[in-house]
Amino acid sequence: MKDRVRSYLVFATRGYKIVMLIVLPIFLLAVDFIAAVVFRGSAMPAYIMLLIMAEVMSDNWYLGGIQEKNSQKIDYLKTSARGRQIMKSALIMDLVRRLVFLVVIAGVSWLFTIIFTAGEGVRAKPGLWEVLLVALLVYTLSLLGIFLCRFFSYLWVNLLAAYVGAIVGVVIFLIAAGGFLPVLLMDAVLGILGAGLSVLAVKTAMLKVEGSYYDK
Amino acid sequence: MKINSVVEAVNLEKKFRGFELSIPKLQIPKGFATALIGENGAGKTTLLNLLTGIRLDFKGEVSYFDGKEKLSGGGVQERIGYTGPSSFFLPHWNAGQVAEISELLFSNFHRDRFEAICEELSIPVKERKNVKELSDGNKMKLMLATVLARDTELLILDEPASPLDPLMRDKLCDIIREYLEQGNGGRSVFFSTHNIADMENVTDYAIILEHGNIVEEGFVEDLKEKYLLVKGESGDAEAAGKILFTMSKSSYGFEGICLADQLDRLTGMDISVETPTLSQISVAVMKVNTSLKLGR
Repeated sequence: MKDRVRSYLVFATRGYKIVMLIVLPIFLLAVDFIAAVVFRGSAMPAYIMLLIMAEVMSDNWYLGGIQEKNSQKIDYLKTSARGRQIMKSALIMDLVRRLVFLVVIAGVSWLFTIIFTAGEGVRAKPGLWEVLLVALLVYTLSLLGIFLCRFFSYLWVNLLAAYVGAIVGVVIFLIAAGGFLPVLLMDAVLGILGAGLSVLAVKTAMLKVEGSYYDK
Repeated sequence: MKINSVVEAVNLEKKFRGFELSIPKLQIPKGFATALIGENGAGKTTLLNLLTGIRLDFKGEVSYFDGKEKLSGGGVQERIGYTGPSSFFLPHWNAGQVAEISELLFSNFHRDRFEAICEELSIPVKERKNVKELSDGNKMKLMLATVLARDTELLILDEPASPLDPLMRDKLCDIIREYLEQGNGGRSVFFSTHNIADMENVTDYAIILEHGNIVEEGFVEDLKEKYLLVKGESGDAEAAGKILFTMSKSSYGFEGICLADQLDRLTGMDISVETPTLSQISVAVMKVNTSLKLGR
C-alpha cells in the first residue's frame, strides 16, 4: 500500500500536492463551516462547481496528456519491469484519492449542517443519500472531464472541460434538489457511471502505456 | 582469446516508417566499453531501445549476460542502467522525485549514492529545479546519476557525450573507466556517440552502424591494424585514390585511409603511413557507406 501511495505521489507536481491535498480541503471545510455556522445552511452548490473545476484543472499538473498521441513522457518507467505496475498503481490511487476526498468533504459538510443548523427557520437538511449524490456527481463529472483532457496536454482543454463540467454538475444538483428525480435512482446511475468511467480511465491510460512499446 | 558477450542478438529486425534495422548477429563484449557509431538516422537509438526493452516490436532473439537471460524475465532490466534522450523523465519532476521514482522502479537504487553523485557532478538539486528547467547537460548528468546510483552490470547510454561540455566529457570517460574497473570484468558499457574523438580513450570495441546495418566492428586496436592512415604528395593522389578506402586532397597532397592489406599496392609512391584514430576510421567507413552526396 505504501508503494502505491508513493507511486501516486511521485507523478504529482509540488503545486498539485499543495493545492489538491492541503489548500483545497482546508479551504472547502472552512467555507462549509462558515456556511453552516454563520449562514445556517450548506455551501454544496458552490463547491460542486469549485471541486469539479479544481479536479479537472489540476489533472493537467498530474498526468496531463498521458493519453496523447506520440506521448513519450514515460520512457524512464519502461526501463524497469516494474514500470507498468507503478503507472497502474498511480492511476488507481488517483481515483481512490479523488473518491475518498469527495466523500470526506461531502460528509464533513453534512456533519456541519446537522450540528450547526439546528433550530427554527432552517430548511430541510440533506440526508446521507444527498451527500453521496454530491460526492458521486463531482467524482463522475470530474472524471469524465479528466478522461477527455488526458488526450491533450493543453491547459485550455482542461479549462473548457472544467467550465462545462461545473455547469452540468450544478444543473444535475438542482434537478436532484428540486425533487424532479429520486435521489436513490440518481445515486445508482452516477455510481454505475462513475465505476464504468474509472475502469475506462485506467484501461485507456494503460493501453496507451502498452502501445508505447509498439508502433501503435 | 574467448570473449563472452554481455548482449547477444541474432537476426534482429525492426521496420518502422520506411526505415529498416537488420542485424544478423550482434555481440557486445563483456567487460569492455563498446561504442556504437553511425550518422544520424543510422538506427543507433532504435537499436538501444530494442536492447533495453523500451521497444518490444521487433523480430529476432536477444539474450543477455553470457546468453543466460532474456528480457522477458524482468530481472535483466534491473541489471541494466539506461540513459535515453532528453525527454526521458517527466518534465515536472525534480531531482528528488527522480530519486523517488528510481527507488520504486529499481530495488538496487541507492539514494545516498545518488545524492553524492549529484553533488559530485554539480547537479542543481538544492534549487529543486524541474527537469524541464535544467540544461541539456544537467539533464544528462541527472540521468547518469540515476544509473550510477544503482548496482548494475551493464550501462547502455544513448549519446551521453553530446550535451556535455568538454570537461564533463572527460569526466564521463573517467566515470566509464571507473565503472568498468570496479566490475573486475563483470561490468560492461555500451554507448552511442557522435563525439568519437572525445570518447576514443575509453572505447575498447566499436560498432559502426549505417542504414540499420552493421558495416564494421571490432576491438579498436584491431581496427587500427586493419586500417592505416596514408599521407602522400599530390602527384600521387590520382593513382592512390584508386587504392585508398577514402581520400581527401589539398594543394599540399593527399590523406586517406587504406586497408592494411592494400598497402602493397601503394609501393613506389612517396607516402607516409600512420596509425589512424578511431574517429578517422569511423568517418572513412561512414563515408563509404553513407547515402549523403559527399563527392568522395
